[in-house]
Amino acid sequence: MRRVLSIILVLVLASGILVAGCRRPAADEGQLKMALVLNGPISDGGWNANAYAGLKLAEETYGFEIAYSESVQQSDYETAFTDYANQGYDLIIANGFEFTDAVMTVAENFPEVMFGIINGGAIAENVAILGFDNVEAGYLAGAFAGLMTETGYVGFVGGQEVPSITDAQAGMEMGLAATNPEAELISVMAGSWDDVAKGKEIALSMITASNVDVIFPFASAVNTGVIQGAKEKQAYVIGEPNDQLALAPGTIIGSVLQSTPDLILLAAGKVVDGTFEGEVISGNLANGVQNMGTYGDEVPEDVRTRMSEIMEQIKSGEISLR
Amino acid sequence: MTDQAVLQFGLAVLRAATPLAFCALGVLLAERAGVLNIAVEGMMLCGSLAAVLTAVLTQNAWLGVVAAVVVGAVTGLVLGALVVLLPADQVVSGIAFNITAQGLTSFIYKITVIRGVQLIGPATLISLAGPAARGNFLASISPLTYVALVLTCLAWVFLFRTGPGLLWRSLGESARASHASGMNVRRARMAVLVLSGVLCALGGASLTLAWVRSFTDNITMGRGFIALAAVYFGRWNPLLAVLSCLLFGAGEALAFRAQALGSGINPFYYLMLPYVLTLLAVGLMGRAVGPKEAGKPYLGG
Repeated sequence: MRRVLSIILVLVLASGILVAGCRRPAADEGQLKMALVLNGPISDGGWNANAYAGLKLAEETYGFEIAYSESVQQSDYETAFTDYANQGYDLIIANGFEFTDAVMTVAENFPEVMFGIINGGAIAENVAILGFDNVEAGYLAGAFAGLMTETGYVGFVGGQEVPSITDAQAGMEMGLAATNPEAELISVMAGSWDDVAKGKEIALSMITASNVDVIFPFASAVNTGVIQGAKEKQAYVIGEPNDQLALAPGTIIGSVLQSTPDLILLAAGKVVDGTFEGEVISGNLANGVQNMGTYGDEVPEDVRTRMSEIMEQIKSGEISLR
Repeated sequence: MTDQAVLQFGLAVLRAATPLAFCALGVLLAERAGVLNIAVEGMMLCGSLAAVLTAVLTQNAWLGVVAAVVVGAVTGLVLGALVVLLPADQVVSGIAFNITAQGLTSFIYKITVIRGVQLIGPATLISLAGPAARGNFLASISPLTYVALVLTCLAWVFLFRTGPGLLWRSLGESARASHASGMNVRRARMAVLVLSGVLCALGGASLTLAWVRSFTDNITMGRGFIALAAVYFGRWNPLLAVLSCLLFGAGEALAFRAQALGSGINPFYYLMLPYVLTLLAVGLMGRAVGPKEAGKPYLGG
């Protein structure tokens, strides 16, 4: 009995492999095809879910035929990219810096296939990096905080001292100087991206020890703790990367939006136009990937107007952040 | 620093040290009875979820504490079944327990998120007089912190000044001798692990009820292991162990405050501070000898 059961079990599992191995039939010639490779599940509600939303957006907007491989293991990175390239996909998006090496290896053999690596570490003729203009994001937060602070002390919380974070920090410094030259920026690195308790502790210490009254946390899940601490001490928080106003009204006064779906759509659009090339595709205000979210009731009309002016000036190049 | 800043610093130290203190006590009592409790991290995680979930659903913070106690006792029984009754290797079982606990709590958390339960705990355990208490230092401390400090003193008196405490320690020094003197080693160690589980879960509860008031995947972030280290630094003495928890808390609170002052030093140095402080303390304390039979399974009758 047990032997029969085990044979049946093996057959069931083996048929699973067969089904998983089946590919969708090839589409009509000429239709653009786009694939996404992720090393986590698309249901994670964050990083991978955002990338998947970008894929769907490209399907809706430009009519791409889409496919994705989720939770791909590191040993299978190159296989996954080679598979899609062999099937004639036009654009293959890799969701994260860690795919850089595998993409570079595969891309060399498929010069006609375009690759985009989100937050990637290298570019080639047919490999682009997709990223956000973090200096600009920081500038927006800094300018906004400068207009809203009453104590003259503004806080920045980073996860770790890495380029994306120091960029945002430098941008915030500039933005703050632009709207409130007397104000001082207090920066703290949490040394973690997901320790909520540290986020809360940093917020409490900034508010009580340094008299900070507006904080811009740029540290993934640590942000949750920062928002909690600020709420308890009645300080303001500028949210990111989504519109977080509803999360803590009265504490969050606005958000700096960084939209991964729009960033992927931007890259897809370049493939449609035939302008995709090996470059850093940077999501910013001008191309609509970055923006300011909804303002809270605390934000006076003149501050909102001033922020719109600043955003216009950045778009027109009147304010240079380089 | 102004008085207010000093006071806030003190509160930050206590906030950070309370979860560690509970867990350190749990680990210490288990090791004194001869059982290594590597599962402290997982027990803490289970307690932290049980506490905040119950507190939110019942809108009563103290019921959250009760839930943590119950769940902690269950985790103690589970670990006991593995390492006392079987008995399996204590280190391996502990690690397996931690991995299981992390998966299980994340799973339950995900279900609550899908069901739309907002995990923001009631504020009643943050301080004795509610979050509005300003200026009054003693009233700004969480009741759970007082519980932890009282338990620390009780544990010391029990272990070193009472007869049952002596028997307890004998379990960790020589289980055979304890058996020869008429003690049921297995039953005693099961009871010890249940108590240890309760204390570790209380550590988790103080994290999610008295500090962050919410839950996320793996919210304990290795704090259980820091408590484990604090036991060694404290030479298996409750008072010294909790003192090293306070030292670690002070290092963490200091790290963020020093960064905020902005001296231009790389933040990595500040983030090292709690660990460096603790290492220094160990260095100054000198050689420590733990319970002789901690970690050794008892195979006798």
